[in-house]
Amino acid sequence: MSTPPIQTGQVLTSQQKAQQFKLFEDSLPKVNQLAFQLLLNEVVPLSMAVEEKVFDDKIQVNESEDQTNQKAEDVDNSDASNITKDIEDKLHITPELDLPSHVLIHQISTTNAEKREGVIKRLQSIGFNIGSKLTELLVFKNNPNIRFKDAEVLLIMKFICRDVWKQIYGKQIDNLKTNHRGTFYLFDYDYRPIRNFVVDGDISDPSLLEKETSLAQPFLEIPIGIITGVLSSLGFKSEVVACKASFVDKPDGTSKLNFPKGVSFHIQIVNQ
Amino acid sequence: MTIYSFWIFDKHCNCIFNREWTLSSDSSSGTTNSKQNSETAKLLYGLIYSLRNITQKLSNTESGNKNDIRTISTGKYRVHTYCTATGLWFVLLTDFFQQSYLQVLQHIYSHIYVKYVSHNLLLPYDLTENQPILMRGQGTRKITNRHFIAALESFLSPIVE
Amino acid sequence: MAIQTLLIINKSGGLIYHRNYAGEKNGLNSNDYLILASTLHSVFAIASQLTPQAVQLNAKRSSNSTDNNFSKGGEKIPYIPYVGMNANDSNNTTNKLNKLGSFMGDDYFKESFVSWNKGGLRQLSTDHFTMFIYQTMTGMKFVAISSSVLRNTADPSHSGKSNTTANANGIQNSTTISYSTAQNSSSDYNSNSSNLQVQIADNFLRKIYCIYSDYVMKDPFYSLEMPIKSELFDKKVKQMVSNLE
Repeated sequence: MSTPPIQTGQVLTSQQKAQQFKLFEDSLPKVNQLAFQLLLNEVVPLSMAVEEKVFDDKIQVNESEDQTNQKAEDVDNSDASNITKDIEDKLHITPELDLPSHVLIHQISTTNAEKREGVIKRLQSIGFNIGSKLTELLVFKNNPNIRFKDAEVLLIMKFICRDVWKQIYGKQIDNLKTNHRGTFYLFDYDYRPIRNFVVDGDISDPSLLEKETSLAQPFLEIPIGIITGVLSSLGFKSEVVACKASFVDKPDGTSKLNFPKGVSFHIQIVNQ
Repeated sequence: MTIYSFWIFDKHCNCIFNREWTLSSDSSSGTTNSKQNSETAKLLYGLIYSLRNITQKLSNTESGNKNDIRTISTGKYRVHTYCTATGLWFVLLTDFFQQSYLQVLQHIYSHIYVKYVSHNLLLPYDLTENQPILMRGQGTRKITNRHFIAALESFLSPIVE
Repeated sequence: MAIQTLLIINKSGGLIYHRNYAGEKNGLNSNDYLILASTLHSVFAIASQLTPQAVQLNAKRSSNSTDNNFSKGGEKIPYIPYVGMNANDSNNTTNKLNKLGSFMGDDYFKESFVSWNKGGLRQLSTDHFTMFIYQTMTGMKFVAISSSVLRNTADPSHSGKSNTTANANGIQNSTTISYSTAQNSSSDYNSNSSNLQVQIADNFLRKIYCIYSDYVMKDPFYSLEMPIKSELFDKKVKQMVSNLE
């Protein structure tokens, strides 16, 4: 590629900027989109596993306090159970694995409200971190498409729809709607992480769709976190932003072999 | 150019999916997932397994790469096999018209199986995971994922004729 | 198609003859070959059990009509002239001792024949070789392992190409024409390219069978079902194999 040498102090033409940006993009280390998607999806069951572990630890702490009180009374009983536990520990060379991902995902929708809340919070905070760091990276990259003169909220939304979404999910948001008073709707009719999700069952059964959407719901928490993270790093603190995701019907003409519902992100920004 | 049946075996020797067409003129005829535990599935598995053993023994060990079976022909039909490194077997029973269905089987693996079974986090990837290790050869679970079946049907039905 | 290995399996699954022609060691001892033979024998039986329902239904339906390959006694294999015969041999009358052929003529047989292998294994293609099995009416199996490999393509133009290479390797150019006439006369069941290899192999293995009946069956010291140790048989088979190369 023949790039004209760029002299310092010279004002770049838009074409030169685009070229410079492309060179920069090419020089960045690349991550396989597939591996990234798999990792991002695996975060959801992982959060559930972490939640369970944290919960178990809490109980164990309580129990061990109880045990120290009781220890003097029944030494014999605990000995026998300790020995079997020791043997079990020795049988595993590596620590025991977590439950398989799909079991954990099913657990999220069946567990109690407190744990579910914990999982959702964890996912949102992971997304928040990704979002706030990603903004820096995308802005820093000197992308000619991104120009924030006065951090106008509509521009930021467009930034999310175009650049952030493209970076993370490999596609742009399909539709952006706003009332120009701080309410935005972002529609993604082919949300990649849940694209191939399906559960076994009879298609004519209406509860099947319900089950699928409820199982896929936790996968919408990371993008919620990402959106609030991006907004926060661009000056809209999380206290003034409310974001919520829901499933919407797809427009006609989309493939029947994908997830049956599209996703809508509803963002409300309270005027300060 | 006719295909008679299609099978998937997993690494625990289970038949996890099968599709059989009974009328060669009608692509919607036949049954899906009806012969998991029947003798046919076991015989087919055994046939391929023993022949694989033979060919791997017979192949020149110096050349390094495994000598895998591509097709097995009898007087009446031809069996095409595709074994993945993860231990899955994709098996297609056809007539004699075409020498190799390897590309068809590879497409099923990479574009249909991986897409609708591996990338689906809501359903188990290893269908025998809840069974104790010794029982894994006798699993009865199968792929009933509707998107997988629909995609497979639409891909294979033009070949059934 | 160069023959790497030739096996003869008797009707109870025992290996009675085994020769390697490729010369390379593949680390198998004679015991391995015995196991291999009996495995082939049992797999052969399994294969016929697996005939798909669609084929069975078709066979039933067409058993009423007469123009059918399977009507009686199995499929007809067309005769392909001079498979495994040296063209110079037939003209060279001086060297009578080394000449192949029987009282039926210099090419053993000149007519199409019925395959007794109805539902069992006939061909096995792998990444490295192709195995052909010819079954006789008495239940013996002649197994040839050839170095030819299936072309890895679904494109019909390519399979046509592999067809011609098979011709060039196996038989003289003139036979291509006679093959196509044989093809026209037989039903459309044979009219596909991939079957040609099987037919060449069947012709070849049937000639081995002819040699077997000439030199092994007429040997007064040979007892049935036992390993073949006839030197003459060895020599003739080797000659035919080298003609194929």
